[in-house]
Order: sequence, then C-alpha cells, then structure tokens
Amino acid sequence: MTTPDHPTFVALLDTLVPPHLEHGLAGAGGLGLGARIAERAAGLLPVLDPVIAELERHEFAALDAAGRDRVVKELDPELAGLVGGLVFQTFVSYYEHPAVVVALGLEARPPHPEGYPLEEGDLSSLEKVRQRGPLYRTA
Amino acid sequence: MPSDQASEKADVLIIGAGAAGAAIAWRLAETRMRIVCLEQGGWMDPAQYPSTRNDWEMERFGPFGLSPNGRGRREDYPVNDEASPIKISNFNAVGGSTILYAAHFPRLHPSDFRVKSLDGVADDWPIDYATLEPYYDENARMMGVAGLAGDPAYPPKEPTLPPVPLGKLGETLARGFDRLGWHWWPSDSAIATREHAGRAPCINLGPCIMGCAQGAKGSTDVTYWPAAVRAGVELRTHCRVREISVGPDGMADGAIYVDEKGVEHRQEAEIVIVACNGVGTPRLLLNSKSKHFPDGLANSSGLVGRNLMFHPYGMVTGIFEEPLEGYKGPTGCSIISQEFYETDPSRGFVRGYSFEMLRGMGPVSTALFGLSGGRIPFGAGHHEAYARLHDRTAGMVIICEDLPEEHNRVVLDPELTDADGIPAPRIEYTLSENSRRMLDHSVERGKEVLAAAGAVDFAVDAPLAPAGWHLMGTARMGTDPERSVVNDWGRSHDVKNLFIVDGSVFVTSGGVNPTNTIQALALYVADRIQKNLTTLFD
Repeated sequence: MTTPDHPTFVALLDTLVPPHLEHGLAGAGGLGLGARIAERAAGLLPVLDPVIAELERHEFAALDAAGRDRVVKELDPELAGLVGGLVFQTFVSYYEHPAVVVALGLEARPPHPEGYPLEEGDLSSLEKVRQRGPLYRTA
Repeated sequence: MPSDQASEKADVLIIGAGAAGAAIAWRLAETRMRIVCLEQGGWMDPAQYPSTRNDWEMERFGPFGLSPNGRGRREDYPVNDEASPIKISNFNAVGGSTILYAAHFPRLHPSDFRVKSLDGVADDWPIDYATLEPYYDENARMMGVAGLAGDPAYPPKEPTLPPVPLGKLGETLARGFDRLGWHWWPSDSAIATREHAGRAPCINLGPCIMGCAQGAKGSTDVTYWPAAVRAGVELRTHCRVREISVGPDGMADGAIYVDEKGVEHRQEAEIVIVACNGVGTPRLLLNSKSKHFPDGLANSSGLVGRNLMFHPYGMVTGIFEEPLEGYKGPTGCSIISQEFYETDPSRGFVRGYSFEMLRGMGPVSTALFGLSGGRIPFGAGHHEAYARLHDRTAGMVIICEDLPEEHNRVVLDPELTDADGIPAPRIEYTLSENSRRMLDHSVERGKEVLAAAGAVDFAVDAPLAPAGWHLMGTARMGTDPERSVVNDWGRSHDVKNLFIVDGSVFVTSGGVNPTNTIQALALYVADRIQKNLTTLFD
C-alpha cells in the first residue's frame, strides 16, 4: 500500500522533480511532499499501488537517478497514465513549497496584504499613437 | 404553490445582484420607490479570497474556478455546455461575475451600434453611442475607472483614475506595438489605482480573477451595492428565483423564489427587472411559462434564448529570454490594442477584434503551463526547462466580435436541474466561419507583435474553451416586436412592466469586454423608467 513515506514512492517523487543542485534544493521526495500530495489528492496514493509494485520489481529506490528516470519513462501506458496524475500534483506541491519559491527569487508569502511595487512604465511613445488621429469610425 | 404568504409588495423587484442589477438598483433608489433585489448567491468575504493564502494559484481549479459546473457551490446553477466549443464562465454572488472578472472596462465604439448600416451584417442597435455616453461617464465614476485620456480608438473620454502601471512586462509588450507602428493604449480598467470612494488602492496583487482581497477592483459588491443599500434598497441574498409570475392581465406581478433552506416564497411587485446575464435571463424567462405565455415569458418573437453571442477568444502566450516581473500587477489589465478593430474587407472577415495584454504567471501556473504544453518534462532536464519559462512568459488574449446567429442559443435542458430542481440551461453554439477567419488572422498578428516585443516562442489556444464569460444577445433590443424581445429602453414588447438590463439585450457584441456597456445600459434604462414613470405601462 502506497504511503507518503514509502521509500519507493519517495524515490519516485525525487525522480519526477529531482534535486536542484544549483539551488541546493532537495527533490520533491526529499522535501517531504508526499504528505502534502496525500492531503491534496486523497484518492491518488491508493491508485498508485500497481505503479509502486512495478517499480519495486526494478528495485527502484536503489537505482541511480538516470536508472530511475529510464524506468519511469519506460512504464507501460496504463501505469504511465497513473503517473501522469502524480506528476501534476508533484509539480503543484513542489512549486508551492516556500523553499522552492525563495530559490526562484520570489517571496514565500501570499500576494495579500503586502502586494508588489510596479513601475509606472514609459508612456512617451503614445504620442506617436495619438498623432495617427482617430482610428474609430463615426457612425 | 409558495409555502408562505406574500411579502410586502415592492414597487420594483430586481432579479440578480451582479453588474447590471447593482447599477439599476442604485440609480432607481433616488426615486424612493420600494426596491427589492433577489440574489441567489451571498456576500463574499474578501478575507477568504485566494490571494490571502500561499496556495492561491490552485484555487482556480476549485471554488474560484470559472465554470459553475466545477466549483461545488450551492449558489451556482449547472449549465450543460457540452454542445459548445466555448464553455460558460460566471459567478453567483452579490457582485455576480464582477467578483471574478479581470476588470477590463472598455466601451463599445460608435460603429458597434451601426453594424448593419456600416458593414451590411447583423442589425443596428436602436440606440447609439451618443445615447449611452453620459451613462458610460456616470458608470466610470461609480466603478472607478483607471485609464488615460486621448486614446485615438475612441471619441474623447475622461477616465476617473490614473492608468494601471505598465510594469516591466507591459513596457516590453508596448515596444512590440511601437516597432510595428500599431495602436496600443493603457487599458481602461475598473481598478482603483488610488483611493477611490472608500476603496483602498490597488497594490498589484495579481490574481484579480479570483476576487480582489484589497477591494481595489470594481466589483459591484464594493461599488454600487454599498451605496444602493444605504439609499434604501433591500438586497435579499440566497434567494433563487424559480419563475416570474403573471397576473390575470398578463402583466408581471412578482416572482416565486426559493431560499437557502429550499423554502418557496413569493415576492409581489409593480415592476420586475431581470438582470441575470445572457444565460440566466433566458433560462428564467423560459422557465416562466403560463397560460398567457406558454412558450416562456416575453417570448412572442420566439427569440428568447436565441442569438447567443460569446466573444470567441484566442490566447497567445509569448516566451521571452528576459525576466518580465510578470507576476506583479493586475493579471488582465495592462495595455489594449485596437489596431484591427474596425472592418477591413481585405482581411477576409467583417468586423474586428481587440488585443488585451495579460501579465505573466506564478510559479505553479508556470509549471502547469510547461507540463501541459510539453515544455517542462519530469525527471532529467526538468529544472533547466523550468528556468526557461520562469518569469519569462507574457500572455495576450484576443477578443473577437461574435455576430448574432439564431441557431446559437440557450434552451432548457430536459434533464439537468439545479439544487432546487429548477431546469438548468443548455447551450447550443457553433463557431461561425467569420469568427474562425477572424481568430486565425488575430492569432498570426498576435504572434507577430509578441515577436516584435522579443518573444522567441509561442503557445496558442484558440478558440479558448473556458472563455464563455461574455454572454450576450439572448433577449435582444429592437423596435420590431417580431425581431426583438425588448424595446429601445429595455422594456419587454410583450409585458409592459418587465425590463431586462443585462447582456441579453445586446444586438451585437462588439469586440470588447461588455461589462461597462451592460452597466451603462442599466443606468440608461433606469433613467428612462424614471422619466416615464407616470406613463410606464402605456
């Protein structure tokens, strides 16, 4: 039965979104996103049981990153379809994670109440637009 | 039969508290008539809007999604839109769909009212731009419209507030238009760019389309409604109207509605005003069958529900090589271009379209955009691919004019009902050849201008399926009772105390967002009701 901390499931998450060496970030499994995914999509983990069983047959958790990547990409279409739902949830949970948001150069906070400063921008070229004269048809 | 005694009779009953219902309620309040508004939704709590939470980006797939079919809210009614390539987007609450709109606030153009005369297609409106102009101005003051005077695409008009800032993204896109010598202008936006009428100024949160937690966006729950309620209008929430009732004389005499506990009530009224949008209004009229009106209320022409117009939307997303800071600023409002708005037969279609520039995407939306388009893989190469898109996308939507066709329509679904058992609407709509050609032309021009701005790759989605948020034409205005449902001031040809004031009455759609015109029409109809009060039912 697939659980958020099942070693093969964690390895699968790390395969879907691998560690980001440049940013010093763990992958989706290392960030512990399994629990968040289980919370967000309660019905998803049980559906993945046959995927986890197939990966275990390949001793997935013991493979290196390239080996894991190959195994997942060579899953038969039915199992690959099940992984598709997990990819969606993994991307969402990963890019919501505060450490990831900060690594992207953003602030790990909701937009409100602080908001964001925004440059007014240069409107000077509108003078040329204006000089074209009316574009509308009089009726 | 209703389960309780009639409430005290109202002078005016308004059904729907969205863009139009709010405007006409406020405007009629000065008559001191007893005005009651029934709204099937409730008041929204801005503190609960997604932008107050870290997981805000995913709310568009949940309770703040565009489709009423996927939100799981009791206040919504389902819409069977399987037979349409464009799906219905709306919202049911005090404020209606203005809760979720982007607040783009352009006007129609003078030529939009004279489509038949100028271009030989569809029909002319029975009113013109000059008729609505003072009401556009009044609406701008009430809604708080940001913009910049001098746009050569329009007759002179004065926005109330300074324009929404361009930001780096808007400036980048403007350069593309400049390089091609094409028209662009800061968008007219119902966004308080500085404090306005008790509303806090915009602080560039981004996701306006999931409700404005700041209260800067001009949704009618923060513009017209507070003023209307202060002026004495009674706004009754969580009241879903089942049908408009008719007296022995064939006049509307009120409405039967269901409260949130499922209990039926009756509200009598001297005047009934329907403001339920271009789908909800025909649904209600078709559900209001009686001995006098066996085919639905106000439907002697057979046109209730027909001539449904959307705006076929195209969406072109440009991918740039430089960061654009696109996550900052009102998501739907920066600049507009109407270079291709007026008819040019050499383009292969009649009428035209607007470009409206969007902002960029947040981190989750970027990931999902890349996933769905095959640009961001899982596994090896994921982070490199993500970095090529992060803060490097700028979108535009293209709003194509849709021409009225009788076969595009709203009917009652024979099986689908809402939570109260009231028959739900079904949409029958096909995209015309003219619209198809216009979309094709606009997408190519969109790519051209994004490339001129520096985009190196594009993603195209046209027609944009979830873009059925402009609902028009299904109870059209006109002087001929056989070819229209209401007269030139919104009064039903068949029922002289029944008025319609939403997008249903549009004769043609123009190629711009309709909310400003819907509200200007509502103010105009209110004015006409006031001026004709003593002879209203003649």
